[in-house]
Amino acid sequence: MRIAKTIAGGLALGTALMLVAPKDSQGWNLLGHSLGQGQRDFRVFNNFSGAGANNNVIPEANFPGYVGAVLAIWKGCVEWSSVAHGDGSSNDSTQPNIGDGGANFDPSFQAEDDNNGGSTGNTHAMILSDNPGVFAFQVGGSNGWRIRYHQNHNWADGPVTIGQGQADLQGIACHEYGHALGLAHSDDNQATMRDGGTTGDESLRSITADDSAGLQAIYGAMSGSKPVITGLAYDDQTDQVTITGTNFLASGNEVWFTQAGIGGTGTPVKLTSVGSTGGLGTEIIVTLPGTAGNGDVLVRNGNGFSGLSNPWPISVDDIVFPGGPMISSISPPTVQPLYSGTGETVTINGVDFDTTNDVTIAGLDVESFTVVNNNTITIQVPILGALGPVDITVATDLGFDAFEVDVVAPATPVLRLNNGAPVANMLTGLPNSLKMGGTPGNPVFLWVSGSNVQTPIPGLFTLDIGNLGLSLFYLGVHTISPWGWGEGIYTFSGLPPGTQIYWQSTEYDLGTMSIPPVPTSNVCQGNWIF
Amino acid sequence: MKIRLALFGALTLGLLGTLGAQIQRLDLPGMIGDCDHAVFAKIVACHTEEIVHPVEGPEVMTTLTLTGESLYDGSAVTVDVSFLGGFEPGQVNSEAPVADDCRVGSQIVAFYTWTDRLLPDVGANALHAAHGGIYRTVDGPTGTVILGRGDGFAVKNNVKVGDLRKAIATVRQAQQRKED
Repeated sequence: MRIAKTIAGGLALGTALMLVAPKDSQGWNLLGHSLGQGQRDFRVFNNFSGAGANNNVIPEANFPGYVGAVLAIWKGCVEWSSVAHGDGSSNDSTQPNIGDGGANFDPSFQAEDDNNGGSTGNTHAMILSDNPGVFAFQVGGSNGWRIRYHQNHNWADGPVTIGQGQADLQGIACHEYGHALGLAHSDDNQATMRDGGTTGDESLRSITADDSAGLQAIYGAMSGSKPVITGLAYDDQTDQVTITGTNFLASGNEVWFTQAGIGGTGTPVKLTSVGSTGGLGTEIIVTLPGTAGNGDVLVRNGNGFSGLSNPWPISVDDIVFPGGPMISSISPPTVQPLYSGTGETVTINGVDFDTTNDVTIAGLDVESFTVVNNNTITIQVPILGALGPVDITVATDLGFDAFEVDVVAPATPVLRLNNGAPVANMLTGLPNSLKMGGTPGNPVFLWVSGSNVQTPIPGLFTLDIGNLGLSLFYLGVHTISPWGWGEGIYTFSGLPPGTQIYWQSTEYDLGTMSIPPVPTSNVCQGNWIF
Repeated sequence: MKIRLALFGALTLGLLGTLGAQIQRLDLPGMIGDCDHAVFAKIVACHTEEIVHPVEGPEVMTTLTLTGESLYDGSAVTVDVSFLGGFEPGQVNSEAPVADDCRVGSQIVAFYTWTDRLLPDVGANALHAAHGGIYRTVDGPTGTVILGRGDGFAVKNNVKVGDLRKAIATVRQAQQRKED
């Protein structure tokens, strides 16, 4: 098509055609500029309006800390990266991989701006204008650029498919960023850099071989000396970041981080004069700078296009959703696993809880939760798979927040009968569940009686049931499971209606080989119906 | 070598092509369905100005003054049609037409639509789909020909002005019937 146009126009314009140099069959064209290492940063001013522009609240491991429009634009830009971004996966099922450039070009995501960045701030922003037939534009070049998205479109942040009338933020960001890095429109009708797009179309998100060829025409095909990050580990206890990859210098590397928070200058947070420690330039260990946040890490080993690595994601803290819930505290600060229905609750304190639709702990749905008000939720914690730190998560219509709590075993023996009500009704032939809380691995001895008169056993323990041992029956021994509870199922029959039955347990601590008297649990009471 | 060729090609093809950005793909029915008007006209003036908005900051806008005839009803038309961007280095908007599309004295076909804010607080007749809304013409032995720009453009193939006028009339009649 391009050739036909050229000939037709050339015939009409006479000698103009004689100046046209023939190209390969590729469709890419160049604007004539390139972005040096000092212009690889980009930010997003999230002033996007419209219902679909910021309604993706699903976090992604390869793009930590951001959702909505920011996430969509981040994905659109790093599609031009030399290699896959992280492991390349995303929620975007329209393409198998994000990061397909194959050139000596990689961008540096620098989080959110608090304004549109001006003319050369390298910022994506919506412009309060209505330009018929135009989705977005890019202005600027090697000294900085801006990308603006016209407000008169129904912008959608994905992350998967979009509606027929919606403009795909990720795809159009990918296209516009192609202009920023130096590509003009392509004559290849399949390329991301093709001239025009339509609503309801996500195909611009994934660059094609033609786009990649154009990119490589500017920056060169990915050099063998280019630093490449292949993995990253962050220890939030020590703030130590371990970067693995290739082509790191023995000394003199720079490590670039995404800035924390909103605003700033867009200049990456940099650690300079960094050595590699893994031998053969395969590992760098640094301490996370205090001003770095969720985003990407890059390693620079020299000047020129090939001196900057691919961006690799790093997650350093929680996600914040605009208008979404935020948990400030949990009461009590440590949580014991309880059975639903016991009436014992844990209180979640925070803000913006009014549209809560789900509460989870350690990934399990909390079946019983109550939104007391916009700042308080009470839950009954189910028995979990293990003790230790877990996240309690509150999800609302506008996002979610998580708060880490420590789930601990009951400090003293706890006994629950059936649903945990103070007095449980019992029926002939129906099984009764006795749940024993305590330290994992410890043996628990279970006793039952028709009397709530004490039974002292000198030197061992004193039970609150059994009537001096005259009405005391030993039911058996159970072991506390790793999740802090054991359970026994017992079925009774033949008792007169109205009979009261009492249970109690004793726990022996194998860890300390505790000297008696050993601790005893609370007493559970059952009311025999028939 | 490839870079040189490509750059040279791109610069030279500026005479023939455009350096646009993300515009909507609009064939002729799509364009006629969306835009306000179409004209076959001469560019009699071209004016570029920087407009500074207190929030958005500076943006450059170019206005072409067109004098010619309506492709809707044949009436005489003089109209200002604007687009974002200019032709100075650093002001080139990726969606704007190239400078040679906007040369004063050229006969062009333009599609335009009024918008209350081509920029914030700035109303104008916007060149519809920016560079996708302007088409060059050449005079041939059998009349003036509009240079088509391929798939996704309102004028796909080279076409005489009279034939485009007829095509537009056909599209408008069909759309009118659909509305009725």
